[in-house]
Amino acid sequence: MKMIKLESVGEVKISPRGAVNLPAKVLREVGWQHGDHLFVEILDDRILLSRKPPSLADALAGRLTHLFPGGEDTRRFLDEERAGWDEFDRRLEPE
Amino acid sequence: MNVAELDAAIGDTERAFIDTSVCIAFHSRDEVAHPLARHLFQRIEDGADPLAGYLSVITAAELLVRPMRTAGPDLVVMHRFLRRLANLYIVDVDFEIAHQAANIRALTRLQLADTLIVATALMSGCQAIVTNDERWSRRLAPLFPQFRWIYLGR
Repeated sequence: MKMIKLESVGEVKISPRGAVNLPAKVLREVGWQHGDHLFVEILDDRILLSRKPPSLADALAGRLTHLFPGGEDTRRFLDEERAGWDEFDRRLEPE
Repeated sequence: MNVAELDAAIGDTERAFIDTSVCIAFHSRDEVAHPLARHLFQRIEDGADPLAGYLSVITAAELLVRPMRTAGPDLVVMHRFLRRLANLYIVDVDFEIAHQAANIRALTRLQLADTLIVATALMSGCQAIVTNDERWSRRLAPLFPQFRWIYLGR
Protein backbone atom coordinates (compact mmCIF):
# COMPACT_ATOMS: atom_id res chain seq x y z
CA MET A 1 0.00 0.00 0.00
CA LYS A 2 1.38 3.39 -1.00
CA MET A 3 1.49 5.87 1.89
CA ILE A 4 0.33 9.37 1.05
CA LYS A 5 2.80 12.05 2.06
CA LEU A 6 1.43 15.51 2.84
CA GLU A 7 3.48 18.21 4.48
CA SER A 8 2.67 21.88 4.89
CA VAL A 9 5.77 24.05 4.45
CA GLY A 10 4.36 27.58 4.64
CA GLU A 11 3.29 30.21 2.15
CA VAL A 12 4.82 31.98 -0.80
CA LYS A 13 3.73 35.17 -2.53
CA ILE A 14 3.34 35.66 -6.26
CA SER A 15 5.50 38.56 -7.51
CA PRO A 16 4.10 41.25 -9.86
CA ARG A 17 5.75 39.33 -12.71
CA GLY A 18 4.04 36.09 -11.70
CA ALA A 19 7.17 34.50 -10.21
CA VAL A 20 7.08 32.29 -7.14
CA ASN A 21 10.15 31.30 -5.12
CA LEU A 22 9.91 27.73 -3.93
CA PRO A 23 11.38 27.29 -0.44
CA ALA A 24 14.80 25.61 -0.38
CA LYS A 25 13.48 23.02 2.06
CA VAL A 26 10.83 21.99 -0.47
CA LEU A 27 13.36 21.66 -3.28
CA ARG A 28 15.67 19.62 -1.07
CA GLU A 29 12.81 17.40 0.00
CA VAL A 30 11.79 16.52 -3.55
CA GLY A 31 15.30 16.59 -5.00
CA TRP A 32 14.72 19.33 -7.56
CA GLN A 33 17.63 21.46 -8.67
CA HIS A 34 18.36 24.72 -10.42
CA GLY A 35 17.77 24.26 -14.15
CA ASP A 36 15.32 21.37 -13.85
CA HIS A 37 12.38 21.58 -16.24
CA LEU A 38 8.92 21.33 -14.72
CA PHE A 39 5.53 20.34 -16.05
CA VAL A 40 2.88 22.86 -15.04
CA GLU A 41 -0.66 21.49 -15.00
CA ILE A 42 -3.98 22.75 -13.70
CA LEU A 43 -6.19 20.25 -11.88
CA ASP A 44 -9.45 21.88 -10.82
CA ASP A 45 -8.28 24.98 -8.93
CA ARG A 46 -4.80 23.64 -8.14
CA ILE A 47 -1.54 24.12 -10.03
CA LEU A 48 0.56 20.95 -10.21
CA LEU A 49 4.32 21.24 -10.61
CA SER A 50 6.26 18.05 -11.45
CA ARG A 51 9.82 17.59 -12.57
CA LYS A 52 10.07 16.57 -16.20
CA PRO A 53 11.63 13.09 -16.26
CA PRO A 54 14.49 12.20 -18.65
CA SER A 55 12.06 9.85 -20.45
CA LEU A 56 8.36 10.48 -20.17
CA ALA A 57 7.61 7.11 -21.76
CA ASP A 58 9.60 5.35 -19.03
CA ALA A 59 7.96 7.44 -16.33
CA LEU A 60 4.41 6.75 -17.52
CA ALA A 61 4.61 3.13 -18.72
CA GLY A 62 2.43 0.84 -16.64
CA ARG A 63 1.27 3.59 -14.29
CA LEU A 64 -2.44 2.92 -15.00
CA THR A 65 -2.40 -0.85 -14.58
CA HIS A 66 -5.08 -0.52 -11.90
CA LEU A 67 -7.40 1.11 -14.46
CA PHE A 68 -6.59 -1.28 -17.31
CA PRO A 69 -6.15 -4.77 -15.84
CA GLY A 70 -5.57 -6.23 -19.30
CA GLY A 71 -6.74 -9.19 -21.37
CA GLU A 72 -10.48 -9.75 -21.38
CA ASP A 73 -11.11 -6.43 -19.63
CA THR A 74 -9.48 -4.54 -22.52
CA ARG A 75 -11.58 -6.41 -25.08
CA ARG A 76 -14.75 -5.69 -23.09
CA PHE A 77 -13.79 -2.05 -22.62
CA LEU A 78 -13.18 -1.50 -26.34
CA ASP A 79 -16.43 -3.30 -27.21
CA GLU A 80 -18.39 -1.14 -24.77
CA GLU A 81 -16.80 2.10 -25.92
CA ARG A 82 -17.54 1.32 -29.54
CA ALA A 83 -21.00 -0.15 -28.97
CA GLY A 84 -22.42 3.38 -28.93
CA TRP A 85 -21.39 3.74 -32.56
CA ASP A 86 -23.58 0.80 -33.58
CA GLU A 87 -26.77 2.72 -32.83
CA PHE A 88 -25.32 5.75 -34.59
CA ASP A 89 -24.50 3.58 -37.59
CA ARG A 90 -28.05 2.16 -37.70
CA ARG A 91 -29.41 5.70 -37.83
CA LEU A 92 -27.16 6.47 -40.80
CA GLU A 93 -28.57 3.59 -42.81
CA PRO A 94 -31.71 4.20 -44.92
CA GLU A 95 -34.84 2.30 -43.85
CA MET B 1 6.29 -11.05 -31.32
CA ASN B 2 9.39 -9.79 -29.51
CA VAL B 3 11.10 -6.40 -29.60
CA ALA B 4 13.42 -7.36 -32.47
CA GLU B 5 10.45 -8.58 -34.51
CA LEU B 6 8.56 -5.38 -33.75
CA ASP B 7 11.51 -3.29 -34.94
CA ALA B 8 11.75 -5.43 -38.07
CA ALA B 9 8.02 -4.97 -38.73
CA ILE B 10 8.30 -1.20 -38.27
CA GLY B 11 11.27 -1.14 -40.65
CA ASP B 12 11.73 2.27 -42.22
CA THR B 13 8.28 3.49 -41.17
CA GLU B 14 8.40 7.11 -40.09
CA ARG B 15 4.69 7.59 -39.35
CA ALA B 16 2.94 4.88 -37.39
CA PHE B 17 -0.75 5.04 -36.58
CA ILE B 18 -1.43 3.63 -33.14
CA ASP B 19 -4.66 2.00 -32.08
CA THR B 20 -6.31 2.41 -28.66
CA SER B 21 -5.42 -1.17 -27.69
CA VAL B 22 -1.69 -0.41 -28.02
CA CYS B 23 -2.01 2.64 -25.76
CA ILE B 24 -3.81 0.50 -23.17
CA ALA B 25 -0.99 -2.07 -23.40
CA PHE B 26 1.47 0.75 -22.71
CA HIS B 27 -0.42 1.88 -19.61
CA SER B 28 -1.03 -1.61 -18.19
CA ARG B 29 1.76 -3.87 -16.95
CA ASP B 30 -0.79 -6.70 -16.95
CA GLU B 31 -1.10 -6.68 -20.74
CA VAL B 32 1.08 -9.33 -22.39
CA ALA B 33 2.10 -6.76 -25.02
CA HIS B 34 3.18 -4.18 -22.42
CA PRO B 35 6.96 -4.53 -23.09
CA LEU B 36 6.36 -4.10 -26.82
CA ALA B 37 4.09 -1.09 -26.36
CA ARG B 38 6.62 0.45 -23.99
CA HIS B 39 9.41 -0.07 -26.52
CA LEU B 40 7.26 1.46 -29.25
CA PHE B 41 6.58 4.63 -27.27
CA GLN B 42 10.22 4.86 -26.16
CA ARG B 43 11.17 4.89 -29.83
CA ILE B 44 8.52 7.48 -30.64
CA GLU B 45 9.74 9.74 -27.84
CA ASP B 46 13.37 9.42 -28.89
CA GLY B 47 14.20 12.47 -30.98
CA ALA B 48 17.04 10.62 -32.71
CA ASP B 49 14.59 7.98 -34.02
CA PRO B 50 12.67 9.06 -37.16
CA LEU B 51 9.55 7.19 -35.96
CA ALA B 52 6.57 9.36 -34.96
CA GLY B 53 3.22 8.20 -33.61
CA TYR B 54 -0.26 9.31 -34.65
CA LEU B 55 -3.45 8.79 -32.67
CA SER B 56 -7.05 9.47 -33.61
CA VAL B 57 -8.95 11.88 -31.41
CA ILE B 58 -11.36 8.94 -30.95
CA THR B 59 -8.55 7.01 -29.24
CA ALA B 60 -7.84 10.02 -27.02
CA ALA B 61 -11.51 10.10 -25.96
CA GLU B 62 -11.55 6.36 -25.28
CA LEU B 63 -8.36 6.53 -23.22
CA LEU B 64 -9.66 9.38 -21.09
CA VAL B 65 -12.88 7.66 -19.97
CA ARG B 66 -11.55 5.64 -17.04
CA PRO B 67 -9.04 8.25 -15.79
CA MET B 68 -11.86 10.80 -15.93
CA ARG B 69 -13.97 8.60 -13.64
CA THR B 70 -11.25 8.39 -10.99
CA ALA B 71 -9.98 11.93 -11.70
CA GLY B 72 -6.92 13.12 -9.75
CA PRO B 73 -3.51 11.55 -10.43
CA ASP B 74 -4.77 9.03 -13.02
CA LEU B 75 -6.12 11.81 -15.17
CA VAL B 76 -2.83 13.70 -14.86
CA VAL B 77 -0.93 10.61 -16.06
CA MET B 78 -3.19 10.14 -19.09
CA HIS B 79 -3.10 13.85 -19.94
CA ARG B 80 0.70 13.84 -19.82
CA PHE B 81 0.77 10.84 -22.13
CA LEU B 82 -1.60 12.46 -24.63
CA ARG B 83 -0.31 16.02 -24.47
CA ARG B 84 3.37 15.83 -23.56
CA LEU B 85 4.91 12.74 -25.09
CA ALA B 86 7.30 13.98 -27.77
CA ASN B 87 6.53 13.04 -31.39
CA LEU B 88 3.10 11.66 -30.52
CA TYR B 89 0.38 13.52 -32.39
CA ILE B 90 -3.37 13.46 -31.84
CA VAL B 91 -5.12 14.03 -35.14
CA ASP B 92 -8.45 15.85 -35.03
CA VAL B 93 -11.30 14.84 -37.30
CA ASP B 94 -11.54 17.64 -39.85
CA PHE B 95 -13.61 17.87 -43.02
CA GLU B 96 -11.03 16.06 -45.16
CA ILE B 97 -10.98 13.12 -42.76
CA ALA B 98 -14.77 13.10 -42.52
CA HIS B 99 -14.94 13.06 -46.34
CA GLN B 100 -12.47 10.18 -46.54
CA ALA B 101 -14.34 8.30 -43.78
CA ALA B 102 -17.64 8.69 -45.62
CA ASN B 103 -15.97 7.43 -48.77
CA ILE B 104 -14.66 4.33 -46.99
CA ARG B 105 -17.99 3.69 -45.32
CA ALA B 106 -19.87 4.00 -48.59
CA LEU B 107 -17.57 1.40 -50.14
CA THR B 108 -17.14 -1.00 -47.23
CA ARG B 109 -20.05 -0.45 -44.82
CA LEU B 110 -17.55 -0.54 -41.94
CA GLN B 111 -18.63 1.00 -38.65
CA LEU B 112 -18.29 4.78 -38.71
CA ALA B 113 -15.78 4.75 -35.82
CA ASP B 114 -13.52 2.38 -37.77
CA THR B 115 -13.79 4.45 -40.93
CA LEU B 116 -12.90 7.64 -39.03
CA ILE B 117 -9.87 5.92 -37.53
CA VAL B 118 -8.65 4.48 -40.84
CA ALA B 119 -9.33 7.77 -42.63
CA THR B 120 -7.23 9.52 -40.00
CA ALA B 121 -4.36 7.10 -40.64
CA LEU B 122 -4.66 7.64 -44.39
CA MET B 123 -4.84 11.43 -44.23
CA SER B 124 -1.92 11.57 -41.75
CA GLY B 125 0.29 9.80 -44.26
CA CYS B 126 0.93 6.87 -41.94
CA GLN B 127 2.68 3.88 -43.48
CA ALA B 128 1.87 1.45 -40.67
CA ILE B 129 -0.98 0.73 -38.28
CA VAL B 130 0.00 -0.80 -34.96
CA THR B 131 -2.68 -2.63 -32.99
CA ASN B 132 -3.02 -5.07 -30.13
CA ASP B 133 -6.58 -5.97 -31.13
CA GLU B 134 -6.54 -9.09 -33.28
CA ARG B 135 -10.22 -8.87 -34.24
CA TRP B 136 -9.83 -5.27 -35.43
CA SER B 137 -6.70 -6.12 -37.38
CA ARG B 138 -8.31 -9.19 -38.96
CA ARG B 139 -11.37 -7.18 -40.01
CA LEU B 140 -9.60 -4.16 -41.46
CA ALA B 141 -6.19 -5.33 -42.70
CA PRO B 142 -7.50 -7.10 -45.84
CA LEU B 143 -9.41 -3.95 -46.83
CA PHE B 144 -6.42 -1.62 -46.49
CA PRO B 145 -3.33 -3.44 -47.77
CA GLN B 146 -1.52 -0.15 -48.33
CA PHE B 147 -0.63 -0.13 -44.63
CA ARG B 148 1.83 -2.35 -42.84
CA TRP B 149 -0.41 -3.94 -40.21
CA ILE B 150 1.56 -4.69 -37.07
CA TYR B 151 -0.24 -6.84 -34.53
CA LEU B 152 1.64 -6.95 -31.24
CA GLY B 153 0.04 -10.22 -30.19
CA ARG B 154 1.37 -12.16 -33.14
